[in-house]
Amino acid sequence: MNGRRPELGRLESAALAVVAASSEPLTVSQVQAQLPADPAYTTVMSTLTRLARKGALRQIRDGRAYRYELAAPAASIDDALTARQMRRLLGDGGDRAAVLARFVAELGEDEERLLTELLERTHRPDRGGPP
Amino acid sequence: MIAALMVLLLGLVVSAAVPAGALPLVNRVRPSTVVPLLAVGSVISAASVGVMLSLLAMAVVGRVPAVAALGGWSIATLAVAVPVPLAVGVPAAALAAFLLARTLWRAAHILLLLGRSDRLSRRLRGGGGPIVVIDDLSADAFTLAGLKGAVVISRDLLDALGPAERHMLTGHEMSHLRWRHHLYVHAVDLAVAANPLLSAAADAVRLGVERWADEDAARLIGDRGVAATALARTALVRASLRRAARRDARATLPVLALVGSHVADRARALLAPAPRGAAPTAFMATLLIATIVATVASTLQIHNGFEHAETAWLTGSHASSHRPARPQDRGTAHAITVVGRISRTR
Repeated sequence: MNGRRPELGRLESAALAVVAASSEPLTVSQVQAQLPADPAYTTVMSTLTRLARKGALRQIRDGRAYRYELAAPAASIDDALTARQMRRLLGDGGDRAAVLARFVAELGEDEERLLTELLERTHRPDRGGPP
Repeated sequence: MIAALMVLLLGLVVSAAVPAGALPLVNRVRPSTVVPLLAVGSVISAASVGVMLSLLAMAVVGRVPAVAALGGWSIATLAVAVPVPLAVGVPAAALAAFLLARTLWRAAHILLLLGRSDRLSRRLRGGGGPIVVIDDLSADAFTLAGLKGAVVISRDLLDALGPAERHMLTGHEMSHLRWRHHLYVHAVDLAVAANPLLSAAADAVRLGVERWADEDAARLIGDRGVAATALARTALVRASLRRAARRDARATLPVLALVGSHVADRARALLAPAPRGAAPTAFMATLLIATIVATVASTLQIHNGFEHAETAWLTGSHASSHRPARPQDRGTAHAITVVGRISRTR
């Protein structure tokens, strides 16, 4: 159903999320270290190679190995048509939720206070997590 | 007829039960189990109510002489075989027509938005991968639906976040994209258009897909507590960036006033242990299978009624027993019946 490009597998999408979250290009072992369930080094390497072949990642030669980063540089939406399409989708009506899922929507005042309290509470009993 | 009303009642009970149980279920059971269950349940329940309303409508519309002549069945036999009172059938027909129109309208709208979203995501990706970082001051992150789809994150939001928050963000959005969460939202939206009683199920599915993506991201991070903190912190960072953006005319994207993504509830759910409750799959399956069987059974029953009426018409017994519902219709009805018979014999 996805045209020429096959859908991403579970490991592929996780690896892509890890690389996208990093502010600098990552080596295979750095990606491996951040993936859950300890996949084998060679598995991670072939996953990253596949993502590069699909055009999702770019390989940067670093000595004898590769580092990986997101293929597309930050896109600019200065281009008038893209900006207009974007504004139309995000802006009109209450129906956008049907098409796009936002990470977090606008916060109400109550919610902001609740979240601040929640952060303070989880931080007191040492770093990293609830009691 | 009694059966048809029973089925309609059953459909309404299911429509009422699905949303009532929906939100508690989302909190108790793994979201990746609950969301598909709710979507399928809503669609089946909406469809069965729609079918039953249409059947009741047909039973009445079938007694309109012009329609009866066109279909070739005896009105008198039909009125006996499928005894739907006008007081039930006429409102059912009106309701069925209204809900059908609503559903079609909704479907057209969803297709339109999907087309736009797909075009935009292809344009943004420009042949690259599904994650697109844009230079913009909107402090936004969202998943665009479509055949390809894309995850769009604005540079200013990404730059303002720490490593755990970034993982939470990218992991969450990739989960939406990979599992095509928007399809569940569309399905339940269509079900709600067809049966407004289900509207609470739509809210539950919307919250459910967010929880699903949160759980996937938490698994990527490997620590639910860290994930919860990251979610809360991202929401607060974004809120303060948005306040700044609102004062900045350079922001290309409109700043939306959309409240209510349940961030606090989601963070709390991540702080609690992973949901392990068993989904009432057996209960739901039984209810839904009962709905389907009852719908099919009463469809067949009404279909049989129409067959009887058709046989009566063909054997000519309608000539004596044919009693149009309203006496003043008799002339026209008879004329149309004759025309119908002629066209049939040709």
